[in-house]
Amino acid sequence: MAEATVRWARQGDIPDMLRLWKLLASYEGNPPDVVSVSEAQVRRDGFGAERRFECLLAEQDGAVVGLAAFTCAYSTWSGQSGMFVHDLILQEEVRGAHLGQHLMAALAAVARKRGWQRIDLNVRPWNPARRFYERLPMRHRDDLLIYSMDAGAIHALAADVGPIAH
Amino acid sequence: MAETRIRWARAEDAGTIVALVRALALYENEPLSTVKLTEADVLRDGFGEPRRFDCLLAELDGTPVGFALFFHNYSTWEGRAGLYVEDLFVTEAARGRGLGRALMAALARVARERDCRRLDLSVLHWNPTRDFYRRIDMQHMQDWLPYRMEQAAIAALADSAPAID
Repeated sequence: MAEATVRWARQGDIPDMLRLWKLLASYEGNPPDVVSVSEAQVRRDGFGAERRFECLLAEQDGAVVGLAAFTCAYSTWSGQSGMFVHDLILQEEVRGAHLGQHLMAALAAVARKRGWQRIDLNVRPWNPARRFYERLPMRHRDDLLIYSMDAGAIHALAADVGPIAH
Repeated sequence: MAETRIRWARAEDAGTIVALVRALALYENEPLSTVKLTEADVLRDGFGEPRRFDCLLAELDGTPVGFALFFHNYSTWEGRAGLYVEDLFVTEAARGRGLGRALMAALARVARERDCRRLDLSVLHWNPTRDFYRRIDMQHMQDWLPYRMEQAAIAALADSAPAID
């Protein structure tokens, strides 16, 4: 039986992280160039002084085969932080081997240790991983809709206002 | 004509922020007991280190009547932070004066200054504010569904976690 482990990503893992992000993008039906992030950006935002996200890796027999990347979110109702998982990906050949369960359990352990009281993620409607998430259990918040503004709309709206008073 | 203004919240606004969060919960038909947020939480997480959120206030004739509370998420594909709006609210009596739009425009300015290429939020399906979001060119991301794990499930799952190196 192949040995599976979960560990924190290190700077030397950046090529593997980029490879898995591109795999995730293509799994979700995007062209490969949708992943425009560079190794330098990952080094700055994942491993620099002002860290923007954190990343766990799943390994099997010493090879990186999966990734979970997350940021800290905040709930004003609980007055507590939470975890937002923005990427969760396993290479196709290792799916079904409980590595996803290991990764999610590792994320839960990190959240519990830090006192973060919820874990959120977004998933495509067609993604069979939804059944896996529901078994964990995660709940689909079907009364909640996600809205997003892109850079063009941000710049148009920002032109309406001057500096914000302190 | 009433004077309106958007400004950054300060530590002395902590009580106001808690009151506005409670007003938002009422608007969303949640019992007030669901709001655990305290002034101490706001001081620690909004004005201490590590700072977990930022907050803008909307004022009408010098009185705070609305707020926008946000933090940063991250797009690994683009390699940069985005801006996530956790709460946006204007009290009922102060609506119709453009304060919601002014708050969103201020958020857009913050996003532009911090080089964020996306501004995201979640909205309840029955909320008429959805029309407003559409008018300011926000898109409903119908191909994304939000999932959540609550505290009890986190604790149960964490018990089965492997050691993390």
